[in-house]
Amino acid sequence: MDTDLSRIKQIILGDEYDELLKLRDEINDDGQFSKIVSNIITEALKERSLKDDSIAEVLAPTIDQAISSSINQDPKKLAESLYPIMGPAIRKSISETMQQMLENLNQLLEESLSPKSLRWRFDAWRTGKSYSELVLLNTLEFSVEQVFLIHRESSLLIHHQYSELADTRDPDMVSGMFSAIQDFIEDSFSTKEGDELDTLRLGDLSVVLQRGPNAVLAAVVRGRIPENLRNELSRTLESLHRMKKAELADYGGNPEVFADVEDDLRKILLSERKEPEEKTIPWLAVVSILIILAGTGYWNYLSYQESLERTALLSTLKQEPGLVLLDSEYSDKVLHISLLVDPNARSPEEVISTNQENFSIEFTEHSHLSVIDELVAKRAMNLLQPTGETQLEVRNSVLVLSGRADGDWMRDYASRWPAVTGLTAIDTGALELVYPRREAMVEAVQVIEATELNFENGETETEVSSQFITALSEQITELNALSMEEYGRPVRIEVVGYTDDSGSPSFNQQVGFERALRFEQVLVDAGVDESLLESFSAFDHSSNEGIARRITRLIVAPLTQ
Amino acid sequence: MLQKKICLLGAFSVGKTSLIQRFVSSLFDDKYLTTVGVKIDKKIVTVDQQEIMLMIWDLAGEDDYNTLNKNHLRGAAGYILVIDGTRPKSLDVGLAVHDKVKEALGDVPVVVALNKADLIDEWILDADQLAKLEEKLPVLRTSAKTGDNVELLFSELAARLQ
Ligand SMILES: Nc1nc2c(ncn2[C@@H]2O[C@H](COP(=O)(O)OP(=O)(O)OP(=O)(O)O)[C@@H](O)[C@H]2O)c(=O)[nH]1
Ligand SMILES: [Mg+2]
Repeated sequence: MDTDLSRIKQIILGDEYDELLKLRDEINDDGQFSKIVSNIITEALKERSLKDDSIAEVLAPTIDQAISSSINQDPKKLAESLYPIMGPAIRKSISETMQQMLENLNQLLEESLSPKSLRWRFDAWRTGKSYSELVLLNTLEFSVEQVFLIHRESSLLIHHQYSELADTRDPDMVSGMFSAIQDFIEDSFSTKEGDELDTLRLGDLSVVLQRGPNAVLAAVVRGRIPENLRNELSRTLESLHRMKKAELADYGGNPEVFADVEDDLRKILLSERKEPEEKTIPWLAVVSILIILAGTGYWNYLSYQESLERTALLSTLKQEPGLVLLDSEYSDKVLHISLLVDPNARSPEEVISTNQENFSIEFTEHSHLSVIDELVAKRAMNLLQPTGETQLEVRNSVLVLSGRADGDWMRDYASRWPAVTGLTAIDTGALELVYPRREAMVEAVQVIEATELNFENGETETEVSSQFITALSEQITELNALSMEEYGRPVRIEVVGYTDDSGSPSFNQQVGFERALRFEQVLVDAGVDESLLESFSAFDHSSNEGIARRITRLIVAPLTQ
Repeated sequence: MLQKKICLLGAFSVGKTSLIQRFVSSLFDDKYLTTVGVKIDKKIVTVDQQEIMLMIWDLAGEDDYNTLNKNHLRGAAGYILVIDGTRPKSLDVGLAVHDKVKEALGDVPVVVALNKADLIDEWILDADQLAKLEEKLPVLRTSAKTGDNVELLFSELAARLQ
């Protein structure tokens, strides 16, 4: 029956039926099924973990249990696996805690404000350290008790320095042990290549090791390790390697070769103790403060002196006519002064004739025209150029002239004074004008008019020396020239012929006229411009100032403008 | 004063520590306390009217678990190779150590101590091997227990240090 049914299934489903059967068997068989699941379990977990956190939740208790049972069985195993990450983690956490502590301390100390804390604060600022670090360093004490110079290769002690307080037990062996200990630690903890033991510590005693290529310095310190000890050690080591290169390289065990390093090593020994604060007068501070006070006092005095000097200088400049002080500024020992300077004023450098020793001066000058009378007068003087006999002065912007002045200059001048900036009027009341040409003309006229030409009775001809005529004609020509210059007009000379009382008036008139003509002709012949001369006969001889003579004379027409 | 570093080498329990203790402090102890790492002692010897301070490095003996630390050998001016006459194995180990040291230090002076001479009746060393060794290296029969040849052992080496 069963087989029939299966045969029917076989007929209907064909090969698939076999496969279905196989699949069922696989699922029913634990071994086979787990094989199938194992193929996809990782992928399945991955898929699921993308969807939610259920895997972690489900697995957590199991893992917890697994770990605790693992620790119960063999704690070392887990410790070993964790060791590489625990070390750094612990170090980090310690350093963070320390940092935190320092910061807290910092805060605490920041609030205290004693003179000492001020000094530390200053030191902190100076050295770039944190304040708290400095306080720690300052409050702790230390003492470098021993220093070992050890030959690195053989660990033999080359030199040993120690303070009286030091408890020195067989330094030779100690020196060997330092390197033995280093070897021991390296072996036991298989540290990295190049890692070196640099500090050993027992209670408050430390050994600071510093290594050079051929020698090692070991310093035994009680208390805090001084901050610069390591620097000091490496500096000393370096210099030793420099000075004793060969001796160190093949040290044969004879320390005498290094007897002279004693001083170098001795320098490393030092101690610092926090003595209780003594109430003594801090002389150093007192003296420094006094010096500072004296210094600032003197400095103040100097700068006060200097400022006085500057003020005086500025007021001199202010008072100088033609200079207008605009601004002054003092910086870096240079006094900058900007001012307006009239071209006719004295230059500021001239005004400050004294030499400034404490500072230098820089001028910035702008030109301007001053209307101060003194400056206006100077300007007028330059422009008008009066002669030495003329005094020039400016009073309240009025040009006051006095003394004597040439008429020509004065004429010019009248047109030019308004060009002088700062003048509003001119006063020539006290000025005497002089006209030299006019004076010369007056003289010439006198000479000319004094000339008389005598005639014989009834005659119209006369003998005159040619010298006399030449001189006279020259005089006339010059007078004319002066007149042209002075008045712009030619001179006019009347030639007047006189007679005596004898003869009839009409005859006399005729004779007089001819005599005049005759004189005129002589003058013209001698070179006098004809147009200057005009001949007349004197009419009323009796009334003519009593002149009743046989003469001819010259009368110059009044010289006026 | 001249200082020299020397080492005592050899298999474990051959009497290195005992020899040093005898030489330095004139003491002997029957108890066996194996040396871990290194221990350093010193003693001044006189060679040709010249004093030399020996810095004596007592190293842990070689065995199956502990091999020689070459760092400890650095700078040694010479060494004493200790062999226990009652233990043939210590001769093999000693010879192996000798080769190693040669490699590390080059040709430095060595003196061999055939130790526990007070137990000479119990010695079971191969005579041939011993003869060969004596040909190659200076050998002294010593006893830390009685002090036999101990002083000589160290001064022999000291004399060989240049
Ligand atoms: N009878 C006798 N016993 C000795 C002599 N020398 C050493 N011993 C004994 O041998 C044992 C080992 O001596 P150690 O000196 O400790 O040997 P070691 O070479 O230092 O051994 P490790 O430090 O382990 O390498 C001790 O019990 C000593 O008492 C000796 O000359 N005669
Ligand atoms: Mg030992």
